[in-house]
Amino acid sequence: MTDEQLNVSDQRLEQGEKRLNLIGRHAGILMQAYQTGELDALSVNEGILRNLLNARIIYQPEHGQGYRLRAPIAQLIANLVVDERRRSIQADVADKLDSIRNQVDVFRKAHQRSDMYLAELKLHIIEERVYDLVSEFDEAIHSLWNRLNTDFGFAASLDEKMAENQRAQNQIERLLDGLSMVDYEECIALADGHVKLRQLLVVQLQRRTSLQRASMLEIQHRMIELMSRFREQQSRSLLVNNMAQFLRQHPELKVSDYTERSEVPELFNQACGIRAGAHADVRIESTQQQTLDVLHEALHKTRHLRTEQTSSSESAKAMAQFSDAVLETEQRQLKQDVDEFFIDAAQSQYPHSALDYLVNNELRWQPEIWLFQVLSEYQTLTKSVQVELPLQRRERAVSKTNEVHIIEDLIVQPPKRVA
Amino acid sequence: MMTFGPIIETLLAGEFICSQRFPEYHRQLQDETLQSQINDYLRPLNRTVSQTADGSVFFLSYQTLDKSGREHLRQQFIQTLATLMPLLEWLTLTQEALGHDSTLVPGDTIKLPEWVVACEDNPSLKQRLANLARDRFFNSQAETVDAQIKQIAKRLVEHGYFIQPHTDRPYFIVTGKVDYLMDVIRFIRDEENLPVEETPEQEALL
Repeated sequence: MTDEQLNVSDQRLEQGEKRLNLIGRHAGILMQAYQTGELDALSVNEGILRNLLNARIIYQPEHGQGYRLRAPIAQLIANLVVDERRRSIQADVADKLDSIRNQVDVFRKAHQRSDMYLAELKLHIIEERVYDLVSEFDEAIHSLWNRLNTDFGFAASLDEKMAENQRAQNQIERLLDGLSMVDYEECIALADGHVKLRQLLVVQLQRRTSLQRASMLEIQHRMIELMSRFREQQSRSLLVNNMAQFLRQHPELKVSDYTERSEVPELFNQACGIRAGAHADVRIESTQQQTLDVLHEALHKTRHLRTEQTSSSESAKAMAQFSDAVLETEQRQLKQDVDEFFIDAAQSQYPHSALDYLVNNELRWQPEIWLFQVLSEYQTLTKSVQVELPLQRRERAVSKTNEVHIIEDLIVQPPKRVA
Repeated sequence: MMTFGPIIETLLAGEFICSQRFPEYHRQLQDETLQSQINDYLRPLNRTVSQTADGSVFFLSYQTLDKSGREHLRQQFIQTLATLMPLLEWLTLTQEALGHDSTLVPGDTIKLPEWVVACEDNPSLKQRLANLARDRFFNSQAETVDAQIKQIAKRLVEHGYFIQPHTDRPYFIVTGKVDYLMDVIRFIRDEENLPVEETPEQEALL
């Protein structure tokens, strides 16, 4: 670079540092201005005010009125404190694209004249501008995803969430407009003949903005979905609260009897409960049917027993051992599976092996847990049912010298058929 | 072998099948072919599978109505009407007490201790709770916030609006039956033309 250019660069460095220091020195009043919207003029003297004005940190919208933070400063703070509410990316795309076009023009001319220093400088600037543009959209997308993923968690009430959602949707529209200004054909034309330009304008600018556009459309779709969920929530709340209020105010309200209609609305046609087994099923023999009936009833009636410790000492000991292994949430499923096993056994013609059933139905229980559950449930059934569904144990001794028996399998015999 | 035996048994018992109480059955019932098979099986019993508008809850309805069927429905309807007010009050009370954005939906978790503290700390909520607990539907004679809430929760479990995943932990999950309740409220509101609004715009007009 030339001396002149170095000086300019130095000057900029110095100025930048000075101004950052200025911001740092007055961070307190600047943050207060960020929060309240206006600078507390009483807390600063004339000199400081003038410095902040000259440094383009604050401005005075109208003569005689208060001082405010300039937009870029407010944006800086909003980004630093991750203030989702205040982030508004000013994507002045048209301006930036124009600037890029100009720089490309100067670059080409410099290249033609073989003025490599200028060409190189211009390339740097173009790179910066492209990066600026692309990263601004990246930031906006990031912020929008953040808002989506937290369901606008930063908003205090449902009303506020809906307002913020609408704001976000408006922002998306503006951003999509901006993105649509990047013209594929133009990018290719501008980059024509220069590898570096092609890298910047086609690979970087055009392709990335294209992906960003796709992302933005996805976000837009989800924002709309989320808004519709918000609306549902709101409508449901209003319905409940307004109906409650109405009924409170009109306790004498008479509602017509919808059940008298020839077509009773489904909502009010809820059939009463009946015993599961009490129906004719021609596939099942009558004695089996009886047992099935009684079994259903027994299972139903004794269901509550199976949610507590069983009284049998033998299975209680075993259950205690294995209960830790089976989460309570799984216990319900286990009980259901065992119920089904008994029903299956009661309906069949042949003895039912509990282990076979476990394997054939590809149930996920460990065999020991399965067997003990079958046994403990069997013991909750009434004697009369047990008589109809005899249970046999297949056991073996632990070893020749150890008398303790281990249950290997449980066989349930079906009800005896009448000859 | 009846592969859907347990579903049928549950339905026949008069249960509401929602994804909170019976996740597996609810999932299976999404299959229309299965629904159709179940309906065929239940035809001799004069029953058919019904569901709420958005399919969140399944239950059995009578296919054809005879005198005793209608009488049963009538009694049920009278009961449903009687429970509307206490259930609505329960919903609005919990929404306020727990500081929720909006009214309870299926899958929401209610932690009893939170509810208790909120009502104990706020005289107006405490009073409303006491009145609610005394309603015939909840039928509580208790004097303390804690006991009243326990009784309310117990009744809600009995009527299928709550499930308690662990009997030793004081939290409850709201079931799909509240969706059914919403459908009932909307139906009555529409049939009787009640000035009960669901949108802020409509509200503003009133």
